[in-house]
Amino acid sequence: MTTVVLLVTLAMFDLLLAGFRAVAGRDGRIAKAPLFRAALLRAALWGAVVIAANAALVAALDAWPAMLAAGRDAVWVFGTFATVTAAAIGFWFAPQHELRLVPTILVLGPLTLVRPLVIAGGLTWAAARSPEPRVWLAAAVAGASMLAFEHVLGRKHAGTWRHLVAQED
Amino acid sequence: MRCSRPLQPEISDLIVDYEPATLARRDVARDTVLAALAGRARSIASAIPHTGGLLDRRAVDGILVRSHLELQRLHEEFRVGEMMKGLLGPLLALVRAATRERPIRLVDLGCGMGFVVRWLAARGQLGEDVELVGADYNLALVRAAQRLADDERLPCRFVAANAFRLEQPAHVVMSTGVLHHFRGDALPAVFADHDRSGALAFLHADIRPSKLAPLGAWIFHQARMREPLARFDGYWSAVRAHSADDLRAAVPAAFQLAMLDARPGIAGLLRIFQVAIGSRTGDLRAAYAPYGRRLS
Repeated sequence: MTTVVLLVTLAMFDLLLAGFRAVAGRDGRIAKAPLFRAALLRAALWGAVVIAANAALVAALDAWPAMLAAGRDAVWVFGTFATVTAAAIGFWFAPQHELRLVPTILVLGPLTLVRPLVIAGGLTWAAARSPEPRVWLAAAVAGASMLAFEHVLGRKHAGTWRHLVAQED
Repeated sequence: MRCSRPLQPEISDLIVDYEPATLARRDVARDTVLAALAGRARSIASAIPHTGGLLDRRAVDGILVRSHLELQRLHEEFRVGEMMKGLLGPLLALVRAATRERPIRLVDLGCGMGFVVRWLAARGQLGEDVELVGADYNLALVRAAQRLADDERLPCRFVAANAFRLEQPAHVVMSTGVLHHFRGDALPAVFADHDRSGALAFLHADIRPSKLAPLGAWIFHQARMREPLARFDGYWSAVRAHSADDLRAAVPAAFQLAMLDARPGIAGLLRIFQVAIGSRTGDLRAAYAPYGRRLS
């Protein structure tokens, strides 16, 4: 049960950040708190759908002990990654200007860049340690859904810039 | 005078062109752009829609607007608005003491979509006597900036104009990430324009050059930006950043000059900008004394 709770928590944390990134850099306003709140809410709702769909697949595949063993391995990889990420985000609230920038400069940029590799690598590693093909299938679907999430959510905002481009006289 | 060597151009500098006297936009020949670029840059530029050998203006505007939106995100993450607010305070105090003219006009040179001006208008609290103006040659970006400012009812305005030839000239000229676009003799020329325009002070923040800056810029632009042009130009802007010595050599003697965060060192790894601060009036170093050893 602990493994399941941890995996769901880690997945939701990652999907929330993906939802934030999906809207970041698309809206030029200064006051964006309502926009980001809406993006996080949307990510939470659709993230719950993605997690539920993956859970339903795991249940349908009917290989619980093997799934649980692979899940434990995945928790180590994603748990470590999420801990570093959360710690870096925590610095954002530091009282000193430069201390607030440290996570952005040293951590968040590089972590965003390697996230697809961590997801693919973590799931591959967890699945490869299992002889059960149904685990491989569940890992592949989970990886694809996690990696596609930001792109799919971002489509809603992809045309935001258009209203800023006026026809020249 | 030692000036910066020419480097790979940024694509955004090539895909728009203006009549020097009127700033009317000129068509840009695709072949001219491609001839100036190589490798990945050429590939990115060749994907820009074109008609009859000329780049499609609307497509170019779209690319630039999207790129500037993504650039704004980086500036938000790096809290550039807060940085500029903090740095402008002492400079505005010097200018207030030096002139009775009001409002004090703060003009953002090459403002793009005006993030810094709009941020200062929304949160800068620089004072009721400060007028915020953004100036850029690119009409599409200026219009986008004004639209965004109007949407949020921000007290600032944007003009498609040369920042040094405004009807009501600037008291203070500022910029963020712009100086490296002035190459070779254009760098001392732009500072000579400051002198001729009668501006009392300037504050220009640009990427701090270091061996790690290009790597950092590459990581950040890959991680944060979607637009290929923005990724490419973002990396090259770090490579093309001027050294503090180049900046010092370009500033006319009429201005006192202080450089912030231009010293090499470990602490500098956490500072992505160096800032050239100039003033004709007052005691510049005393005004920025609280910055201590960060000043040189």
